[in-house]
Formats: sequence, structure tokens, C-alpha cells
Amino acid sequence: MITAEKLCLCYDKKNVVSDFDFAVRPGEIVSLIGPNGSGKSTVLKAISRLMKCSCGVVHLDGRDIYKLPTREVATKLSILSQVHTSPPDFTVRELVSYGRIPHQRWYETLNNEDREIVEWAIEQTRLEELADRTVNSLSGGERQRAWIALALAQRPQVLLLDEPTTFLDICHQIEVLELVKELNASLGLTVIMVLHDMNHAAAYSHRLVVIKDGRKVAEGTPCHVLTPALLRDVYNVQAEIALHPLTGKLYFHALGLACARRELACNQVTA
Amino acid sequence: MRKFLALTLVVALAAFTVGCATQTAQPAPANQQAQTPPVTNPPVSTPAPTTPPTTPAPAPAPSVAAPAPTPSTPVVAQPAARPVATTPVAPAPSPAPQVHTPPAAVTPAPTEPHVFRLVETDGTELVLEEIPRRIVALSVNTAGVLASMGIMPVGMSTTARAHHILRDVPQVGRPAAPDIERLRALRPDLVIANILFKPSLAPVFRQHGLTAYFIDNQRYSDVIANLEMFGRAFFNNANHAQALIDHIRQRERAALRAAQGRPSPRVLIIWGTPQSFMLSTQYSYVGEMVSMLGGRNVTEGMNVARHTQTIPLSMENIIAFNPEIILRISHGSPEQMAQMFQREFTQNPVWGRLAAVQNGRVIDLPVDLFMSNPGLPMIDALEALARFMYP
Amino acid sequence: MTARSAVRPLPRDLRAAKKILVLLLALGLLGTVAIASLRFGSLSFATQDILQALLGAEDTLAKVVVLDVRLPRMLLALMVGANLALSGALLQAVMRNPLADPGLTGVSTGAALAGVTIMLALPQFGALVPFAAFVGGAIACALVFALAWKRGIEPIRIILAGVAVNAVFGGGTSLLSILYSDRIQGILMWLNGSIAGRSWYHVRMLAPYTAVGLVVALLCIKAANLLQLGDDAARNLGLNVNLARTALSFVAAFLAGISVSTVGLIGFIGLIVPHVCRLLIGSDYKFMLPLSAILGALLLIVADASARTIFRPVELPVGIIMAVVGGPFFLYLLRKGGSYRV
Repeated sequence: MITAEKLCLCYDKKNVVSDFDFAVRPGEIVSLIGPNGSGKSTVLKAISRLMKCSCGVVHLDGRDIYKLPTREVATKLSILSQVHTSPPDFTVRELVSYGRIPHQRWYETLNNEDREIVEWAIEQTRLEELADRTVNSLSGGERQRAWIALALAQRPQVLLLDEPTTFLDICHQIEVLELVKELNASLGLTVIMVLHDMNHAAAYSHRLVVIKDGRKVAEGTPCHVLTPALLRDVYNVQAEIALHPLTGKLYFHALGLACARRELACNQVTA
Repeated sequence: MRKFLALTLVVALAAFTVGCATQTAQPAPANQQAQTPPVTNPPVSTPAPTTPPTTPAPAPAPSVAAPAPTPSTPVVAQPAARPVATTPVAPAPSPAPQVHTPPAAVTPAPTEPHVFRLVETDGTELVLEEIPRRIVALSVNTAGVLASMGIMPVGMSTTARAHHILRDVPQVGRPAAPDIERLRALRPDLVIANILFKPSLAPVFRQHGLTAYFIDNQRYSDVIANLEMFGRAFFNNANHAQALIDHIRQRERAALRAAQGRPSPRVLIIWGTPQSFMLSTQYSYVGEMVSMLGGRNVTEGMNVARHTQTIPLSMENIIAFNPEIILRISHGSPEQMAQMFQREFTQNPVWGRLAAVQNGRVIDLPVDLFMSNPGLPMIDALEALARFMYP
Repeated sequence: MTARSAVRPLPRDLRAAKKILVLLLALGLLGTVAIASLRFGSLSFATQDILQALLGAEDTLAKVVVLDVRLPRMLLALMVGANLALSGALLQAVMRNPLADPGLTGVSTGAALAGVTIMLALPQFGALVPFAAFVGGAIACALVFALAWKRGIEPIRIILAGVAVNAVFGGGTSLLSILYSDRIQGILMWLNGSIAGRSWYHVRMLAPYTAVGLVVALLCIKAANLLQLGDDAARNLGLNVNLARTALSFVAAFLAGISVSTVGLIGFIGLIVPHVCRLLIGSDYKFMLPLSAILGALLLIVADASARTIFRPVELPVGIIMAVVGGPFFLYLLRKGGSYRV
């Protein structure tokens, strides 16, 4: 459904991502993982048109995403950035109602159908009780859910999440990820997310894409991708990987740094 | 809450103080002789004034007479820019004032010891043992006065329109901020600057060891008072000074005679551009002359501080006052100014209701005589004003 | 999980109704104050005289003063106040910075330089001052945006470019003031922003541009709201952020430019009024923008009436009054936190 071919992205004349090929099928949850500065967020931004790519092309349903009108893209694709700002006195409901804007003409305001969808989005994210509170008065996890509700109100087919759990505590992290999984299961929402925590990535994704230094290093199901060798090469970490006895999911445990001396020696070890 | 009210009160008080301060202390750069005044009617003077008069001088010229036959007088009848008035104004040639040195010996027989003393309006006194010989006048007005008294300054402030008597005098920069290097190079015994700039210039002159006197010569009466003071101080030229004063007084009397017996007209003096203008009070240069001629300024009877020369006055008061004569002073060519003001007067129906506009007694005053005090030529201004007000 | 505060939020419809009520009240207040301001001025008239002046046909002094002096001033204050407030509100959306003021775009200094150049150095072209001021403001604004553009418009670059352009143009104005220091007195009123001496001519001149500006500003509501969510979220929702920023900035510059060209430089309204409105009615531009226009008009009418009355018969430039009237009120509101908590 979304494909990126030979993507390369420059930022301040520096090649951040090069030669990136990527394809996502409908209904999949794909996680992009990789070390800091590897270009994961950049790829996500390129796919969502937040950033222009220097070369290469991104297709959405077979059409070049840059040639599509912005509003149409906004009705099909929704991205949730890392940092959100909203005016202090917006309530949750008001915020979520903004999600309907791509579906309206510039002179239109909310009609009944829009209102229903807004309520539905609030329901899906279980924010009914908080709907009239201001966004800023919510906790981190609740706020994240409110923004997910905003994204839902857009009724996208693809949801892009840029590090949705980074600033949250473990409880809220699980909350958000469970929500994502549920939305994927019930609505068939395709999800592409950038995650730091590999255990989460392994547990909640259908596929993983590993990026290092702007290049795709590995791609596949968690079992295939997460190997000690990869972890050593990409993250410079000695790890133990196993299937959890209770959940049957893959998880890893870091044992320490792969090489004693830092950067230089480690980079030489890369396959 | 109380802290808050207190804060609000403090802010409001501060604003009111600022308001009062701006209302009362209006500086008057309007009358600064920054660039303007040409010494159009230069008095004739013998450049090296000293004691024995050898030439019997011709009799003092009557007020309106033929131009003086002395060679160095350019005899400029009126300044080049004629007023474009809505009433026809008869141009009158005004002669150069005559210097008449009295036949008696000029070396004064003093009854009191002669001291070179100059007093500023704030009371500061300058007393020197000897009469200064090298004088720099940072005021074209003063330079003209000194030259007329027979004292040629060795330097003066930069001006585009110096009279030809002063044309060889080196120019040292703006009155507000002269070029100190050039000033010092002239090795002056005395520097005369405008009192408006005393706060900034006094320390500078002190630092450079220059003797300075700060003159206040914005108004008509100031010029005469200064002349008298210079006459006493530069006692070798006392007679020149006296002659000038007598001449001015004579012409003044003649001009005032025109106003005698006439009803005193209500006068409005506008200063600025049509887009943004202020009114000159009775304490300004033009305002004082209007008062001398018996005119009643719109600002009389209002609580205007003595040193306020221009104020922004409400249009409503102007309407209520209903001036009979409107005098307009604006820099720029008078024809164009007149045109612009006319346009403003037609666009804004309020002006049309004023008696002055209805009777066509709106006059654009020539810039060189009326923009700021030109020094000795001010008598020409007074005479012109008398003609405008009492045709 | 988290402790919830005990405040029960108002349901949605009631909130909207409350906002509309505030708008209506403000409108009513504006009407009342506008009429009442005709009572105040340098001359005192009894209220009867004023009513007679408005209704009667007799040509009294009161009639002249009220109809030809105070009424056009009130209308001008209304329009200029609304324009400047809207300009400030739109710029604050563009900059996402509550300290944004129309002056940031260089409009004021550009207009000042153009106006002062004509009034001091080329007084024979005085009739062109409003036009020149507008063009000067537009040029300065274009310069700011040209300098700030780098693959897009970012608030911080606009601010920096604005500071630079303001410095240069302001320096030009100062230079002219020094070179023509003997004439500066005459133009002080314009430089400080004054509605004194303005007449029906100016009202007729400003009205059509104001009408156009107001309508266009109202069309910008949606874009302004979206910009408040941040660039990424706004793009996500289909807004072309660069285009929106540029367009909103030019509308703001236009509104400020026509105002400055007519009455000179009046600052402060664009900065304070949108803030006050935010505290009163919230950040939704659907309500905040109209309220800004209303409150801006209200504020300037009151300020102008004060300017011509407080130190009568002397007229103060209205910009000075603005600071005194607006500042403490703003402080008070900030302290109180605004009634908009529900």
C-alpha cells in the first residue's frame, strides 16, 4: 500500500538517508528501529510528506504521494509527531474535531457526520470521560491518546507514529501500544511506527525494519531480524534473545557493550 | 490584590508625570537656527571697528526708504520666496540698516570699569579679563549679529545660506554637535553656542578647555536683549550695537504704528506639514511678534507654560476660537506648501468654517524669515507681519 | 491512574454559548462606548447639545465639532483599532509567539521611513504620504520575508529578519531626524500616532481597504487555528504551512500598513488586544479573531477620546495613551488568569 523506492533525503547538504527501499502492506504493523541519528524519523517524515525527499519516490496506493493534493493525502494518511503543542485551553473534543478538517471544504464547519466521527474516535481511545477537559490538564498517556484520537478522526488508512512512547512511563507506553494493536485489529489500520524499545517493537509489530546510518540493514519478522549478531553490529550491544516463556514473544536482554573501546573499534566490526 | 492596585497606580502616576512633562517642556527646535536663516538684510559694517570714526556717516535712513548706497549691501528687498498669500501683499523693499557711528570719540569714557561680562538666561555668568578677539559663533543668527557690530567671527556653524559677508568664515559643523577638531584648530577665545544644547556641549567644551557662552536667541526680544548685552560686553563696539538697536526700535515703532487703533485680530499660527502640524504659542518667535502687533493667539488664556513654544492643540478649540487670520509656516517651497495646505483645507470641511478661511486671510509665511529667528533680519519679519495682519 | 481535579467541565454547547455571549456583550459595549465618546473632547458640551447636534439641523458649534471633528475621529479609531488588533492576532498565529506585534514585520518602520522622508525632505509631495507610507511598509515587510525565507518560513527567522530590517529602517528615520532637526517638531504627532486633525476624507479613504482587510482576515480563521497545533500537525491535517504563514503575514502587514499610512504609528494594540481576547474567550480563532477586532476598536476609541480630553486643550498623541490604558489592564488579567478556565 505504501512503497518507497530508492529514497534519499538530504538535510543541510548532508545525506541523511540514502537508497532506501521500503514497502508496507495493508493491515500491517511495521516498526522502524535503529540507533540514534540513523534516520528513522526522517524516513517517516518523508513518507508523510512532512519533509521533501531529494530523490526517490513514495507511492501511496500506487500513486506518487507528492503529486497528490495535500487534502487527499491528509484523508488517507495521518502522522503523529514526537512533540505536540496545543493551545492551553483546547478541550479534548475540540482537538479531536480538528481531525475532520481535511474532509471539509474551507468554508464548511462540523456537520452531524463529523460530530459522530469525533465521538467515535473519542470512544475508540476511551476518552469519553475526559472529553471536555483541556488537553494540557491530562497526563502524558492520556494526552497521547487524545492525539491518537485526533489522528483517528481523520479516518486514515495509514497511521504513522514517530516515537509515540518515548516520553511516557511504562504503564502509559503499554496503554498506547495496546491501543494501536487494537485499532489495527479492529479497523485494519496500517501502522508504521518508529520505536526505541526493541522489546516493544518485537511484541507489537508484524515486521521490523532496521536502519543504520541512513541505510536499511535488515527487514523481516522480529524473529528473523533480531539476532545477537545484528544487535552487536547495529547497536554495539551484547544481548541474549529468547522467546518469553509466558507470552511466547521475542524479547532481548542486554548484557553489555560489544566492544570495550568505543566508536572506532566498533565501527570496524560492522558487517 | 492590593499589590496589584498599587502597581497600577504607580504606572498611571508615572504616565501622568510623563504627560505633564511633555506638555510643559516643549523644546523648540522650531526656532533652532540649524540650517536656515540667511542673513538677508545684512547690516553694513566696517570690518575693523575701532575707535575714531573718520567718515561722517550718512543720516540714518528712514523706515521705508531707498536702499542704502553702501557697496557691500546686497539690498535684498524681501527674501526670495514671496509669501503666496490669498490676499495680495505689496512687496516693500526694506533697506539695510545703516550703521551710524556717532562723531564723538568712541573710546568710552567709562563711569564704571569695563568688564567683559555675558550672562546666560539660567544665571550663569561669564566674565573675562579681556575682550575675546577670536570668536566662534555656533549660531548663524549670532554670527550675523556680531558681524553687524563689526566683530567678524573666526568660525561659525555650517549653513547653506550664509550671507556673503560671512562667506569666508570657516564653518565648523552643526550647532548641536560641532566638529571639535576644527573648532580647536581655530583657537577661539570664546565659543558661543545655543543654550538648547548646553547640557550636551558644556561638558565637551570644558574638557577641551574652551571658554563657552550659551546664548538664548530664539525670540524677537532675545535678539535685542542680546544685542544690548553684547554692546556692554564688547564695549569697543558699543556704539555699533546701539546703532543697530536704535535702528531696529525705529522700524519696530513704525510697524507697530500700523496696528494702532485697529481691532485686535484672532490669529492662529500653524507649524509643520498638513499631515502633522502643531500650533505656535504666544511665546514662540512668530507668536511673540504677533502679540507685539496686537494679535490674539488662540493659545492665550490657556494654561500654557512660558517656555512652551509649540503645542499640539485640539481642533475643537480652533473651531471654538474661530481665528480671523491663519498664518502657516512650513519648510519647503511656499507655492507647493500653499497648494498642499489648500488641499487639506478643502478636504477637511472643518477648516472651511473658520472666519479666516472664509475671508481668505490665510497666509503662508516665507520660510527664511519665519521658520526660526534669523537674527537681525527679524525686523523685516515684523514689518512683513504687520503688513499681513493690517493690510 | 492520575488524580483528577474536582472541577467539572462545562458541556460543549454551553461553552460555545458562553463565547457567543461574550462576543455579543463586547459588540454592545463597543456601540455604547462609540456613541458615548462623542461626548468627550477639548470643548465641553451638555449632552442635550450633542443630541441636538446629531439629530437637529441647526448649525451650532456643537454640531460642527461633533459631526466634523469627533465623529470621523471615532470612526477612524474604530477602523484602525480593529485593523491593528487583527493584524496582531494573525501575526501571533504565524509566529506562534505571544509577543508578536505588527512591528515585527517591519511595516511600522518602513512606513515611518517613507512618511518621514516625504514630510521632512520632500515636503512638496506631502499629499502622497499615506500612499508612500503604505508602500514603504510593504517593501519593508517583503524584505523581511525575503530574508527569512529558507526553504520555508520559520518564526524565528522572521523575528531575526524583522529585527535587522527594523534597525536599518529605524536608523534611516533617525538620520533624517538629525539632518532635519529643525523641522522634526512638525511631524512629531504623526510619528507618535495621532488621530488629531483627521477628517471624513481619511475615513472615506480607509473604509474600503478596511472592509476588504476584515473580510480576508475572517477567511484566515481556519489556517490560524491549524497553525496553533504546530507545523507538523498542521501539515498532517492538510495545511500548506509555508503558504499559510506567508498569506497570513501579508494580510497582517496589509492591515497594519493601511492603518499606519493614515494615522501614523500606533503600537501596542496588536500586541495586547489579542492576548486579552485569549484570556477572555480562549484560543479558538473562530471567536478570538472577531473579539480582537471589537476590543481593538473599543480600546482605540477610548484612547483617542482620552487623548483629546485629558490634557485639554493640548492633544496628546494617542499612542502614548495606549500604553497607559492597555498595560495595567493586561497585567490585571494575567494575574487573574482569565475567567476562561472551564
